[in-house]
Amino acid sequence: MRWFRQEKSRRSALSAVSGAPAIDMRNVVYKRAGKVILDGLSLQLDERRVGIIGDNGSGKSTFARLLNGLLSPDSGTLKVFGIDATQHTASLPQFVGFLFQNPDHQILFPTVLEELAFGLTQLGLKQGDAERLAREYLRAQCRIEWADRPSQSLSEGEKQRLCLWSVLLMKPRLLVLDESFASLDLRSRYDFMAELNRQQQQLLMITHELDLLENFERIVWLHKGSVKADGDAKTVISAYKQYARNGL
Amino acid sequence: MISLYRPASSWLHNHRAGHKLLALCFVSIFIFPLTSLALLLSLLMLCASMYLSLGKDGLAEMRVVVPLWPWFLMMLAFHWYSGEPVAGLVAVVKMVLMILLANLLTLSTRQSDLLSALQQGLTPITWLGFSTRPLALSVSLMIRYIPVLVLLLGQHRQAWRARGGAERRKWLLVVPALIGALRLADHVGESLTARGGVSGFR
Ligand SMILES: Nc1ncnc2c1ncn2[C@@H]1O[C@H](COP(=O)(O)OP(=O)(O)OP(=O)(O)O)[C@@H](O)[C@H]1O
Ligand SMILES: [Mg+2]
Repeated sequence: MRWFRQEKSRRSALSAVSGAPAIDMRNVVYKRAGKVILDGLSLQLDERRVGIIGDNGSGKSTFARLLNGLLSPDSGTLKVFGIDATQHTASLPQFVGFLFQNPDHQILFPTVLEELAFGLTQLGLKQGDAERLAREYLRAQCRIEWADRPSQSLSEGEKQRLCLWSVLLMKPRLLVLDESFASLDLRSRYDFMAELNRQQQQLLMITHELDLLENFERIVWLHKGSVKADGDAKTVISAYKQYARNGL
Repeated sequence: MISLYRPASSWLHNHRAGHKLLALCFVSIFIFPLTSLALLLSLLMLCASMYLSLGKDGLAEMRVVVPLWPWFLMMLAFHWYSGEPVAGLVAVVKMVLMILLANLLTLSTRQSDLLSALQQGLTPITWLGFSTRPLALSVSLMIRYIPVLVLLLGQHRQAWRARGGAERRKWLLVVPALIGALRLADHVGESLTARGGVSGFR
């Protein structure tokens, strides 16, 4: 019965506060099993493209999951486009699209068209209208022949593209990518990156591939749950490389 | 995601999702209390002929039940042990039949058509002030993932054999299969939440 009641609170339509930064985090702490994973993070991010780098286990994925409500902070305040993330967790995905690392974990529907249409029905469109829009979208991408293909029959790169399109169709204001390139070959990575750069959305990208971040307006280096460095791509990336080679 | 939907079209594809769902419900209600092995076996033959009628390699779609054989064996053994071997057979044939029938629905129906049908079928709950979407979405996803779970079990068996696991200790596979199932549920849940959860943003 619980989700029936939650339903009511989800319904309250929210709009982003105009002029508010994409992400406004103050003293955010996140703990799991008694272990502090994010240790009082304070960040205001509003650049068009933000890269997040850091070692394995430094808290990058945890950070990303806070942004669209998959996780909630234990303390501190987090506002996403001016919306209080702890109060309106369920509304966050409306503004923040999330691309998982593994497309197989994201794709829910057996055919391409259904997967694309699903997000639109989530926004309140009728199935028929959603499918029509999804078809138009595919046509615009010159991939109309994908419509009735089983999602499972796509290659890894194509699947990841399907995931991206399903999220973009929902028109989020911020797109979060958590190592979404891991299963792509080099060429697909560059293709994919080029496609991302063409989008209007703000972008927050977690990756271990530093050269993909070269042109980003801002890079944040997370280390053991805190910000180790924060600034323009060149400075932060070279500091991180230095550390990776020689240690702190 | 593994999908058991066959995009090919057959006579079964052309029926409305709602009708198929309703038929499945009625047939299951009819089958559930049956105890006659002969009757169940003839229904199984009937079901097999439906698979056959789907066209090329239609029969091969029946293999969904194959990975479940250890469970069937366990059911048989249990009934044997309690002195009712025939009851064991009845239970197994019944289960196979139900799974095969449900699979007929999944392989011939688009997920979103199933969802719409469920949503329509659930209309009465809107009279109580509930929304049909969350329940319909949950149930349609559940129906869709049952065969996927069965397949998952089969994959673990392959991995087990590939690493030289002893056939006799196959029951140990229950644990990774269960963990696999939970992990799958986790991923489905997260992906759903990331796009607005079962109720969406309306
Ligand atoms: N469910 C959990 N229970 C306990 N600890 C967890 C859980 N999830 C994450 N952690 C821990 O939190 C820390 C940060 O994890 P996180 O996944 O955010 O790191 P990451 O920076 O994304 O690493 P990677 O580069 O390997 O993806 C890790 O030490 C991890 O072990
Ligand atoms: Mg991670």
